[in-house]
Amino acid sequence: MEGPPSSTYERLSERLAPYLGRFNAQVWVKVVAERELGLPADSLSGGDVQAVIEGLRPALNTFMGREAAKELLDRIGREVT
Amino acid sequence: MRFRSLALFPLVYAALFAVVAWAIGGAEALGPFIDGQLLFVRVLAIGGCLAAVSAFSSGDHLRRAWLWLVVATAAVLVRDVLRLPPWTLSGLFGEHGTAVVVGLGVLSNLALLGGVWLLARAWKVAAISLPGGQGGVTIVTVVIALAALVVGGPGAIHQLRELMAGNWSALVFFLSAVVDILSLCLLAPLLLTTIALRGGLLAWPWALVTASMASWLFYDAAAAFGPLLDLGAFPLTELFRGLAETFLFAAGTAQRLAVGEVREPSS
Repeated sequence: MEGPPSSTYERLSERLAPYLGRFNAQVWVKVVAERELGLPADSLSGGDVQAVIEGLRPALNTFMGREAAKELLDRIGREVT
Repeated sequence: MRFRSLALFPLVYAALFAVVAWAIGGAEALGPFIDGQLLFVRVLAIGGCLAAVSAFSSGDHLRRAWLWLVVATAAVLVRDVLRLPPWTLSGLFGEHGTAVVVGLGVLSNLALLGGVWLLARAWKVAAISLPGGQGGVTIVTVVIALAALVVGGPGAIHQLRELMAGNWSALVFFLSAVVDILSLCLLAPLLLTTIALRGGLLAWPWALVTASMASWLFYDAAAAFGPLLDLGAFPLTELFRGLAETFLFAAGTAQRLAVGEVREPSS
């Protein structure tokens, strides 16, 4: 039996977790959602994904380089939107 | 698994180093072994840093940091080669040779400081928060700075006294000691960045570069307090120097692997 569909926040965090760790991935998405959209992470919807991705880009550019960050964020954009 | 193996490698290397050094025994016989293994770990460290550089594109913040670490390790490798027989540059060219050898040491220290500085401020460039808030950051920084001063301070003060007594050749050693202390102080942001990224692949290079800098701290401590331990001819400082360089190799390689894993996930 399948569980309830996961939220946009959960799906974003899950895809970042292998690289940032689960806790940090959740924190980073929460911080960006509040900073960029003024929203609590739980109320993110598919339409907010691109804004969150752009909010995550500077930090990911720093820690994994621009090319790797672009590939990861493009992949997340395709999978989560 | 690959990351855990990388993290274990310096410890295995240090264990092997200790066994061989104990087996060889006397200080005279240890010389060629220490010289040979030193060149080996320097080359390894350069390889690791170059691997990290190759993970990034021109203009990336961490590419610059790793490039500085390549310069630092390459400069000190050239210095080490020039100090070996049959070159023994200072022997061949007197004071000029000595100046080249010392200059390469200072260049290496400055480049190391530049590289570690860039690594240490990555969290600011990324605009993330470090764990523990401002209070936690301050406490960790103060504790590590005190440790750096305890192990590096006496040497710096000794060189400063020489300098004030008119011995200008002590200037480079004094500068080198100060740069050493400053580099060690940057352990705090490296450690906190590691904690900030814990649980993810990107934490590995940070953990390993932190271990490398911690090994330099132990190297300085061994140089300052090793004679009190009565270890005979055992080269404790060289053991920590080997650890620092092999951890740097592991960190650079882990950086390359982590970025590669982002671009081509294995699962």
